Amino acid sequence: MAFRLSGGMIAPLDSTALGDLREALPQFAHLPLAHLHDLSSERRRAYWLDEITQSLANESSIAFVSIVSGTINGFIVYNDAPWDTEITGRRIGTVEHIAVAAGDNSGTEILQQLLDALTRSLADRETQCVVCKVHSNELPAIHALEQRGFLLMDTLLDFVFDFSRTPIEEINPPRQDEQLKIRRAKPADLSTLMAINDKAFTGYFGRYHADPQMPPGTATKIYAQWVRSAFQGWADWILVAEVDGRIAGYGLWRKPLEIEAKNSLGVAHYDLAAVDPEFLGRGLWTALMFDGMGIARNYAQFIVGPVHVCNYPVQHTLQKLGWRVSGTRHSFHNWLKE
Amino acid sequence: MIARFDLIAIDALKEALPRFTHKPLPHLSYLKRDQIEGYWLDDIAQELTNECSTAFASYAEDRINGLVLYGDSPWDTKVVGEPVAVIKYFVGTGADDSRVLDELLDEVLRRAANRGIHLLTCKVQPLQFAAIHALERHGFLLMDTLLDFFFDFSRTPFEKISPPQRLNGLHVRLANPEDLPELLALTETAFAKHFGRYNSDPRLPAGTGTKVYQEWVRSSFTGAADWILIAEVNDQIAGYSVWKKASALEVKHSFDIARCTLAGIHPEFFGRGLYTTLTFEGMRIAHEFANHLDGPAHVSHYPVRRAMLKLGWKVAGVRHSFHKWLSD
Repeated sequence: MAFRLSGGMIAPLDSTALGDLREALPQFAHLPLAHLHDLSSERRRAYWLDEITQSLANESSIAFVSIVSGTINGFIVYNDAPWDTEITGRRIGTVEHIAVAAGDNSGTEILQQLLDALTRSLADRETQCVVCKVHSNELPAIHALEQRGFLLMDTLLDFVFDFSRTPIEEINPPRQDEQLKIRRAKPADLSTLMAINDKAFTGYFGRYHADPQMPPGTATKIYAQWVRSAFQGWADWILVAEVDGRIAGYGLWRKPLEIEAKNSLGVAHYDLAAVDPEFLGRGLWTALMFDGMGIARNYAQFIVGPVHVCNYPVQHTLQKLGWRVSGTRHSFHNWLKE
Repeated sequence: MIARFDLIAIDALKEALPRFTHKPLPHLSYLKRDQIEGYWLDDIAQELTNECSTAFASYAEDRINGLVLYGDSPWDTKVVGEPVAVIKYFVGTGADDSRVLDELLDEVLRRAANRGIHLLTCKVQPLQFAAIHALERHGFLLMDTLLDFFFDFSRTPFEKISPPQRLNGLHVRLANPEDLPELLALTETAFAKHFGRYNSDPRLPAGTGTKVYQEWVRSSFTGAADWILIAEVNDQIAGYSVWKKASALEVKHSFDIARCTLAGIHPEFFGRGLYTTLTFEGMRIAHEFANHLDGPAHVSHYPVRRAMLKLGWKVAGVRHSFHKWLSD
């Protein structure tokens, strides 16, 4: 299957074409790992190629390239999202990579053609919703998505903490309530954490809340499943905050992922935290974060964590602890017509 | 039902304002609800006395459940060279917003096209999901995201702010009219690689962003600003910042605010603390007039973010900018 464009062609991409893609990557506008400064272009591209290879190895992958004069000048890689699909009861998938060559005036048009090719393929699969996250400076991708029916759902700031820039010993430890204790979670804590989730995320405003086509209660279910999976091994450490022996908050953390370790990227991940609304303003979140950072230091030079652009209290806390914003991403959803 | 909204119906709007799901200026959380709504109503009334502004309201059971107000933007029109209009308010009450906002936008697009408008722009808050989606469904494209920074002298007196470390040879002074040509040249250099909405819109001719900021500087010298600060390094102008006191309408509603509206630094001096010092010195003057300050910055302008936070400012609001071209 291939579609001919004026002056170019859209063709399926599979792992046999990775060599050509490797050659083309330096021409692309997308900067992989943009939130990590001081990485060489080679390391960024090596990581990106590993990510793409991993995406293509997934059996649900659908991928296309745009080729002009024998050179790849755009590509898109999609995979089903079984986790989201199971929770929402809707068939959801994710555009994991979408990129176009830098300086190409027809960048938006190329990306539109790639999105069209993807959408045609998804019709057979009965995919209902496609999700895509792009960096805020990738205007051709943002505009191509919007012109193909994707709607903006949220904006995330990528916060980064760099232990080489700020040794943890230089951070003023948060003042800690004497009744507050931070400890590792035990399996028996799960039900309490789920109850905190219900309270903490009611009225939140992430992309699952922002999408009116998501079934009611989706967001809470997503966060609940996130915590459940964390206890099943997805997270590397879970901290809970106890006040007077009562669990009042938690934080989920991960060590560097396999693909990051392979590329010698010492990056740990702060993934999710929640505090029982009854205990807000008592420094639990800061204490959870500080202790989590102390553990992360054993595994990584950097910690990364995304925060909603409107979540000012969390941003404020991270800044106080020495984290910096190093990137911005927009999330888009597209509900495909029946 | 969608109907043209004019001043005669202002009382009906007064009743509706508290029911709108999003209100202007959410980053000024020190303002009371009455202040915001009073200001908002006066601003709409003021806009409607201008023949270049038009509003439409949506009604359900004789009550307003949506409003859109847009007007010509002579300033943008002059710089862009094509007729530009701005949607200033675009809100619903929450019930059936998707349909209500779609219908209001249909009306605006029809009227604006008939008036010969080529470009419509609109800024909305990120949690105005229904408005964002209505804009995108109607072909508006996201151009940039702005953070609204806020500073409160009643929480942090000026004397408590740690003065930034000054570059050797740096001197900050008020601008004189004779500085204008040099500031225009500096603006061209400073904003050459900027990434605001004028730079992001592929339909705008290259260089529009720079022209916009130059026009901004020019008008700042002719009354749009209340003070302009210049950073000189070894007697050479290396940066500036533009400040403004509260408008008459803001004073009427006791906003007690001043704002930093623009700053430009020569690229040779990026990362050398000029922006922080200019902001600090601007704050020194501002605290004579106001207890609160605000100022916008692009979400991806991380050095500005760091400088503002260092001086005790906080991010208190966010706005997305959208553009739609009506002409081919």
